Amino acid sequence: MHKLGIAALERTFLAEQMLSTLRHDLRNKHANIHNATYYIRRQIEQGHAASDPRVARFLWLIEEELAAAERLLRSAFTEILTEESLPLDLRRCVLEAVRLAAPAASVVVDHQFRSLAIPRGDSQVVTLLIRCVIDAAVLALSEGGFLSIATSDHSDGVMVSVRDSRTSSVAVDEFKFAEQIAARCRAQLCVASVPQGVLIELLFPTILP
Amino acid sequence: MKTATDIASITDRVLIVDDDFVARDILVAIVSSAYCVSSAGSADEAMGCLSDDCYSVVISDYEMPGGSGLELIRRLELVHPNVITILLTGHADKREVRDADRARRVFAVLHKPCQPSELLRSLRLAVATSHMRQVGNAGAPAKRRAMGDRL
Repeated sequence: MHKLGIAALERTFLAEQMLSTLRHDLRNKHANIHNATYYIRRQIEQGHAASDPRVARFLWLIEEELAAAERLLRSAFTEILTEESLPLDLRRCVLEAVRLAAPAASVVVDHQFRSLAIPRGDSQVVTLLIRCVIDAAVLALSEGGFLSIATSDHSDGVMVSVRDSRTSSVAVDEFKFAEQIAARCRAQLCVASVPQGVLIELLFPTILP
Repeated sequence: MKTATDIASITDRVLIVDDDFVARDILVAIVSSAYCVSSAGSADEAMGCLSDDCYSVVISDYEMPGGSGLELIRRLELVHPNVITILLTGHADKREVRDADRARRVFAVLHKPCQPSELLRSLRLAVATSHMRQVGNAGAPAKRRAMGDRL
Protein backbone atom coordinates (compact mmCIF):
# COMPACT_ATOMS: atom_id res chain seq x y z
CA MET A 1 0.00 0.00 0.00
CA HIS A 2 1.25 3.47 -0.81
CA LYS A 3 2.49 5.91 1.82
CA LEU A 4 -0.54 8.19 1.40
CA GLY A 5 -2.96 5.32 1.90
CA ILE A 6 -1.20 4.23 5.06
CA ALA A 7 -1.20 7.76 6.43
CA ALA A 8 -4.91 8.13 5.76
CA LEU A 9 -5.64 4.77 7.35
CA GLU A 10 -3.51 5.61 10.38
CA ARG A 11 -5.41 8.85 10.83
CA THR A 12 -8.75 7.09 10.48
CA PHE A 13 -7.65 4.40 12.94
CA LEU A 14 -6.51 7.04 15.43
CA ALA A 15 -9.82 8.89 15.10
CA GLU A 16 -11.74 5.64 15.66
CA GLN A 17 -9.67 4.87 18.75
CA MET A 18 -10.31 8.33 20.14
CA LEU A 19 -14.02 8.10 19.43
CA SER A 20 -14.19 4.71 21.13
CA THR A 21 -12.52 6.14 24.25
CA LEU A 22 -14.77 9.18 24.11
CA ARG A 23 -17.88 6.99 23.83
CA HIS A 24 -16.75 4.97 26.84
CA ASP A 25 -15.92 8.01 28.98
CA LEU A 26 -19.19 9.72 28.10
CA ARG A 27 -21.18 6.59 28.90
CA ASN A 28 -19.56 6.58 32.35
CA LYS A 29 -20.46 10.22 32.94
CA HIS A 30 -23.96 9.60 31.61
CA ALA A 31 -24.37 6.60 33.91
CA ASN A 32 -23.31 8.62 36.95
CA ILE A 33 -25.77 11.41 36.09
CA HIS A 34 -28.55 8.86 35.53
CA ASN A 35 -27.89 7.09 38.82
CA ALA A 36 -27.51 10.26 40.86
CA THR A 37 -30.77 11.63 39.40
CA TYR A 38 -32.54 8.37 40.23
CA TYR A 39 -31.30 8.50 43.82
CA ILE A 40 -32.31 12.14 44.32
CA ARG A 41 -35.76 11.55 42.83
CA ARG A 42 -36.28 8.55 45.10
CA GLN A 43 -35.27 10.52 48.18
CA ILE A 44 -37.62 13.36 47.24
CA GLU A 45 -40.51 10.93 46.70
CA GLN A 46 -39.86 9.35 50.08
CA GLY A 47 -39.55 12.73 51.79
CA HIS A 48 -35.92 12.16 52.79
CA ALA A 49 -34.32 14.73 50.51
CA ALA A 50 -34.04 17.54 53.07
CA SER A 51 -32.33 15.38 55.67
CA ASP A 52 -30.06 13.42 53.36
CA PRO A 53 -26.65 15.08 52.85
CA ARG A 54 -26.06 12.85 49.82
CA VAL A 55 -28.77 14.72 47.89
CA ALA A 56 -26.87 18.01 47.91
CA ARG A 57 -23.61 16.20 47.19
CA PHE A 58 -25.10 14.29 44.24
CA LEU A 59 -26.61 17.48 42.83
CA TRP A 60 -23.13 18.95 42.90
CA LEU A 61 -21.75 15.74 41.33
CA ILE A 62 -24.26 15.99 38.48
CA GLU A 63 -22.99 19.50 37.71
CA GLU A 64 -19.41 18.22 37.87
CA GLU A 65 -20.07 15.27 35.61
CA LEU A 66 -21.83 17.50 33.06
CA ALA A 67 -18.87 19.88 33.07
CA ALA A 68 -16.44 16.96 32.73
CA ALA A 69 -18.45 15.55 29.80
CA GLU A 70 -18.37 18.94 28.11
CA ARG A 71 -14.60 19.12 28.58
CA LEU A 72 -14.20 15.62 27.16
CA LEU A 73 -16.21 16.52 24.07
CA ARG A 74 -14.34 19.74 23.52
CA SER A 75 -10.87 18.21 23.84
CA ALA A 76 -11.68 15.11 21.77
CA PHE A 77 -13.16 17.01 18.86
CA THR A 78 -10.35 19.51 18.89
CA GLU A 79 -7.87 16.63 18.52
CA ILE A 80 -9.88 14.78 15.88
CA LEU A 81 -10.70 17.78 13.74
CA THR A 82 -7.42 19.61 14.00
CA GLU A 83 -5.50 18.95 10.87
CA GLU A 84 -2.69 20.90 9.35
CA SER A 85 -4.00 24.10 7.89
CA LEU A 86 -1.06 25.40 5.91
CA PRO A 87 -0.88 27.15 2.57
CA LEU A 88 -1.36 24.45 -0.04
CA ASP A 89 0.63 23.78 -3.17
CA LEU A 90 -2.44 22.66 -5.10
CA ARG A 91 -0.44 21.89 -8.25
CA ARG A 92 1.66 19.44 -6.28
CA CYS A 93 -1.43 17.87 -4.73
CA VAL A 94 -2.98 17.37 -8.17
CA LEU A 95 0.18 15.86 -9.68
CA GLU A 96 0.59 13.52 -6.71
CA ALA A 97 -3.07 12.48 -6.95
CA VAL A 98 -2.72 11.72 -10.66
CA ARG A 99 0.44 9.73 -10.02
CA LEU A 100 -1.31 7.68 -7.33
CA ALA A 101 -4.42 7.13 -9.44
CA ALA A 102 -2.14 5.79 -12.19
CA PRO A 103 -4.43 6.12 -15.21
CA ALA A 104 -3.95 3.52 -17.94
CA ALA A 105 -1.96 4.42 -21.03
CA SER A 106 -5.24 4.51 -22.99
CA VAL A 107 -6.33 7.54 -20.93
CA VAL A 108 -4.98 10.85 -22.20
CA VAL A 109 -4.35 13.18 -19.25
CA ASP A 110 -4.20 16.93 -19.61
CA HIS A 111 -3.28 19.43 -16.82
CA GLN A 112 -3.88 23.15 -16.81
CA PHE A 113 -2.73 25.01 -13.72
CA ARG A 114 -4.14 28.51 -13.97
CA SER A 115 -4.76 29.39 -10.32
CA LEU A 116 -2.63 31.91 -8.43
CA ALA A 117 -4.51 31.98 -5.15
CA ILE A 118 -3.36 29.77 -2.30
CA PRO A 119 -5.92 27.74 -0.39
CA ARG A 120 -5.17 26.46 3.09
CA GLY A 121 -5.56 22.91 4.26
CA ASP A 122 -3.93 19.62 5.00
CA SER A 123 -2.02 18.57 1.89
CA GLN A 124 -2.46 14.84 2.58
CA VAL A 125 -6.22 15.15 2.99
CA VAL A 126 -6.56 17.40 -0.05
CA THR A 127 -4.42 15.02 -2.13
CA LEU A 128 -6.60 12.14 -0.97
CA LEU A 129 -9.74 14.05 -1.97
CA ILE A 130 -8.43 14.88 -5.45
CA ARG A 131 -7.24 11.32 -5.86
CA CYS A 132 -10.72 9.98 -4.99
CA VAL A 133 -12.20 12.11 -7.73
CA ILE A 134 -9.54 11.14 -10.28
CA ASP A 135 -9.83 7.47 -9.29
CA ALA A 136 -13.55 7.58 -10.09
CA ALA A 137 -12.81 9.11 -13.49
CA VAL A 138 -10.06 6.58 -14.23
CA LEU A 139 -12.37 3.74 -13.31
CA ALA A 140 -15.07 5.10 -15.61
CA LEU A 141 -12.50 5.33 -18.41
CA SER A 142 -11.47 1.69 -18.32
CA GLU A 143 -11.88 1.55 -22.10
CA GLY A 144 -9.69 4.63 -22.46
CA GLY A 145 -10.61 8.26 -23.00
CA PHE A 146 -9.72 11.78 -22.09
CA LEU A 147 -9.09 13.20 -18.59
CA SER A 148 -8.64 16.91 -18.07
CA ILE A 149 -7.60 18.46 -14.76
CA ALA A 150 -7.48 22.20 -14.26
CA THR A 151 -7.10 24.67 -11.42
CA SER A 152 -8.61 28.15 -11.59
CA ASP A 153 -9.25 31.09 -9.30
CA HIS A 154 -12.75 32.08 -8.26
CA SER A 155 -14.03 34.83 -6.01
CA ASP A 156 -14.54 32.43 -3.11
CA GLY A 157 -11.71 29.98 -3.63
CA VAL A 158 -9.62 27.87 -5.93
CA MET A 159 -11.39 25.38 -8.15
CA VAL A 160 -9.99 22.02 -9.17
CA SER A 161 -11.99 20.75 -12.14
CA VAL A 162 -11.75 17.15 -13.25
CA ARG A 163 -13.46 16.37 -16.51
CA ASP A 164 -13.62 12.90 -18.02
CA SER A 165 -15.01 11.61 -21.29
CA ARG A 166 -16.97 8.69 -19.91
CA THR A 167 -19.97 7.47 -21.79
CA SER A 168 -21.62 5.93 -18.74
CA SER A 169 -23.55 7.94 -16.18
CA VAL A 170 -22.39 8.65 -12.63
CA ALA A 171 -23.05 5.70 -10.33
CA VAL A 172 -25.07 6.14 -7.15
CA ASP A 173 -22.74 6.83 -4.21
CA GLU A 174 -19.74 7.10 -6.57
CA PHE A 175 -18.58 10.23 -4.78
CA LYS A 176 -19.87 9.45 -1.29
CA PHE A 177 -16.42 8.96 0.19
CA ALA A 178 -15.09 12.03 -1.63
CA GLU A 179 -17.99 14.08 -0.21
CA GLN A 180 -17.01 13.03 3.30
CA ILE A 181 -13.41 14.02 2.77
CA ALA A 182 -14.49 17.28 1.14
CA ALA A 183 -16.54 18.11 4.22
CA ARG A 184 -13.47 17.51 6.38
CA CYS A 185 -11.36 19.97 4.45
CA ARG A 186 -14.25 22.43 4.01
CA ALA A 187 -14.21 22.04 0.25
CA GLN A 188 -17.32 22.03 -1.92
CA LEU A 189 -17.81 19.13 -4.30
CA CYS A 190 -20.06 19.42 -7.31
CA VAL A 191 -20.68 16.67 -9.89
CA ALA A 192 -22.37 17.44 -13.21
CA SER A 193 -23.04 15.59 -16.42
CA VAL A 194 -21.72 17.58 -19.36
CA PRO A 195 -21.72 16.90 -23.10
CA GLN A 196 -19.43 13.90 -23.67
CA GLY A 197 -18.60 13.18 -20.07
CA VAL A 198 -18.74 14.19 -16.45
CA LEU A 199 -17.36 17.28 -14.73
CA ILE A 200 -16.38 17.22 -11.08
CA GLU A 201 -15.55 20.51 -9.41
CA LEU A 202 -13.81 20.94 -6.08
CA LEU A 203 -13.79 24.41 -4.59
CA PHE A 204 -11.23 25.10 -1.87
CA PRO A 205 -11.53 28.25 0.25
CA THR A 206 -8.58 30.59 -0.12
CA ILE A 207 -6.60 33.45 1.24
CA LEU A 208 -5.32 35.57 -1.57
CA PRO A 209 -1.55 36.06 -1.79
CA MET B 1 -38.32 -26.18 54.14
CA LYS B 2 -37.15 -22.67 53.34
CA THR B 3 -37.58 -21.43 49.82
CA ALA B 4 -35.46 -18.84 48.11
CA THR B 5 -38.20 -16.25 48.56
CA ASP B 6 -38.52 -17.05 52.24
CA ILE B 7 -34.91 -16.32 52.95
CA ALA B 8 -34.92 -13.11 50.91
CA SER B 9 -35.28 -11.23 54.18
CA ILE B 10 -31.82 -12.32 55.28
CA THR B 11 -29.39 -9.43 55.08
CA ASP B 12 -27.76 -9.85 51.72
CA ARG B 13 -24.30 -8.53 51.19
CA VAL B 14 -23.44 -6.89 47.90
CA LEU B 15 -19.98 -5.78 46.87
CA ILE B 16 -19.63 -2.94 44.37
CA VAL B 17 -16.31 -2.74 42.54
CA ASP B 18 -15.46 0.35 40.50
CA ASP B 19 -12.28 2.40 40.26
CA ASP B 20 -14.36 5.54 39.65
CA PHE B 21 -15.07 6.92 43.11
CA VAL B 22 -18.08 8.93 41.95
CA ALA B 23 -19.70 5.96 40.22
CA ARG B 24 -19.04 3.74 43.23
CA ASP B 25 -20.41 6.28 45.67
CA ILE B 26 -23.66 6.73 43.76
CA LEU B 27 -24.15 2.98 43.21
CA VAL B 28 -23.61 2.34 46.92
CA ALA B 29 -26.27 4.95 47.72
CA ILE B 30 -28.78 3.34 45.35
CA VAL B 31 -28.19 -0.25 46.35
CA SER B 32 -27.80 0.29 50.11
CA SER B 33 -31.52 0.97 50.51
CA ALA B 34 -32.21 -2.72 50.02
CA TYR B 35 -28.95 -4.51 50.71
CA CYS B 36 -25.93 -4.43 52.94
CA VAL B 37 -23.31 -2.89 50.65
CA SER B 38 -19.54 -2.61 50.67
CA SER B 39 -17.35 -1.23 47.94
CA ALA B 40 -13.89 -1.70 46.51
CA GLY B 41 -11.84 0.36 44.08
CA SER B 42 -10.02 -2.48 42.33
CA ALA B 43 -10.10 -6.20 41.65
CA ASP B 44 -7.40 -6.80 44.28
CA GLU B 45 -9.28 -4.82 46.89
CA ALA B 46 -12.42 -6.75 46.01
CA MET B 47 -10.65 -10.07 46.51
CA GLY B 48 -9.53 -8.80 49.93
CA CYS B 49 -13.13 -7.93 50.86
CA LEU B 50 -14.30 -11.36 49.70
CA SER B 51 -11.72 -13.15 51.81
CA ASP B 52 -12.91 -11.23 54.89
CA ASP B 53 -16.68 -11.46 54.39
CA CYS B 54 -19.31 -13.44 52.54
CA TYR B 55 -21.09 -11.71 49.70
CA SER B 56 -24.05 -12.88 47.69
CA VAL B 57 -23.44 -10.66 44.70
CA VAL B 58 -20.54 -8.70 43.23
CA ILE B 59 -21.34 -5.83 40.88
CA SER B 60 -18.19 -4.90 39.02
CA ASP B 61 -17.20 -2.32 36.46
CA TYR B 62 -15.49 -3.81 33.41
CA GLU B 63 -12.62 -1.43 32.79
CA MET B 64 -10.41 -0.93 35.82
CA PRO B 65 -6.70 -0.37 36.12
CA GLY B 66 -4.81 -3.33 37.57
CA GLY B 67 -7.33 -5.95 36.44
CA SER B 68 -10.60 -5.79 34.54
CA GLY B 69 -13.99 -6.80 35.88
CA LEU B 70 -13.80 -9.96 33.79
CA GLU B 71 -10.46 -10.86 35.32
CA LEU B 72 -12.03 -10.40 38.75
CA ILE B 73 -14.88 -12.70 37.72
CA ARG B 74 -12.38 -15.34 36.55
CA ARG B 75 -10.67 -15.17 39.94
CA LEU B 76 -14.03 -15.39 41.72
CA GLU B 77 -14.96 -18.48 39.72
CA LEU B 78 -11.90 -20.20 41.16
CA VAL B 79 -12.03 -19.00 44.76
CA HIS B 80 -15.67 -18.05 45.39
CA PRO B 81 -17.70 -19.96 42.80
CA ASN B 82 -21.01 -19.30 44.58
CA VAL B 83 -20.77 -15.55 44.35
CA ILE B 84 -23.08 -14.18 41.66
CA THR B 85 -21.57 -11.53 39.42
CA ILE B 86 -23.02 -8.59 37.50
CA LEU B 87 -20.80 -6.72 35.07
CA LEU B 88 -21.28 -3.05 34.23
CA THR B 89 -19.60 -1.89 31.06
CA GLY B 90 -19.34 1.12 28.82
CA HIS B 91 -17.72 -1.12 26.21
CA ALA B 92 -20.82 -2.65 24.67
CA ASP B 93 -18.87 -3.92 21.69
CA LYS B 94 -16.02 -5.71 23.48
CA ARG B 95 -15.81 -9.26 22.26
CA GLU B 96 -14.68 -10.78 25.55
CA VAL B 97 -17.65 -9.17 27.30
CA ARG B 98 -20.07 -10.57 24.70
CA ASP B 99 -18.42 -13.99 24.97
CA ALA B 100 -18.64 -14.00 28.78
CA ASP B 101 -22.30 -12.99 28.58
CA ARG B 102 -23.07 -15.69 26.00
CA ALA B 103 -21.19 -18.34 27.96
CA ARG B 104 -23.22 -17.42 31.07
CA ARG B 105 -20.08 -16.79 33.04
CA VAL B 106 -21.66 -13.57 34.27
CA PHE B 107 -25.17 -13.45 35.70
CA ALA B 108 -25.88 -10.21 33.85
CA VAL B 109 -24.01 -7.75 31.69
CA LEU B 110 -25.44 -4.26 31.92
CA HIS B 111 -24.42 -1.65 29.43
CA LYS B 112 -23.80 1.84 30.69
CA PRO B 113 -25.73 4.00 31.04
CA CYS B 114 -28.31 1.47 32.21
CA GLN B 115 -31.43 2.46 34.10
CA PRO B 116 -30.93 2.11 37.88
CA SER B 117 -34.24 0.23 37.96
CA GLU B 118 -32.73 -2.29 35.54
CA LEU B 119 -29.70 -2.68 37.79
CA LEU B 120 -31.91 -3.19 40.84
CA ARG B 121 -34.02 -5.72 38.98
CA SER B 122 -30.92 -7.67 37.93
CA LEU B 123 -29.66 -7.45 41.48
CA ARG B 124 -32.92 -8.83 42.87
CA LEU B 125 -32.68 -11.75 40.45
CA ALA B 126 -29.04 -12.29 41.33
CA VAL B 127 -29.77 -12.31 45.06
CA ALA B 128 -32.63 -14.74 44.50
CA THR B 129 -30.32 -17.01 42.53
CA SER B 130 -27.82 -16.82 45.36
CA HIS B 131 -30.55 -17.91 47.76
CA MET B 132 -31.37 -20.83 45.50
CA ARG B 133 -27.76 -21.88 45.61
CA GLN B 134 -27.81 -21.55 49.38
CA VAL B 135 -30.81 -23.84 49.71
CA GLY B 136 -29.19 -26.38 47.46
CA ASN B 137 -31.11 -25.66 44.32
CA ALA B 138 -28.24 -24.20 42.41
CA GLY B 139 -28.01 -25.13 38.77
CA ALA B 140 -31.67 -25.97 38.31
CA PRO B 141 -32.46 -24.00 35.20
CA ALA B 142 -36.21 -24.50 35.36
CA LYS B 143 -36.39 -23.23 38.92
CA ARG B 144 -34.15 -20.35 38.04
CA ARG B 145 -36.46 -19.42 35.21
CA ALA B 146 -39.48 -19.78 37.47
CA MET B 147 -37.80 -17.59 40.06
CA GLY B 148 -37.09 -15.02 37.39
CA ASP B 149 -40.70 -15.10 36.25
CA ARG B 150 -41.99 -14.68 39.80
CA LEU B 151 -39.71 -11.72 40.40
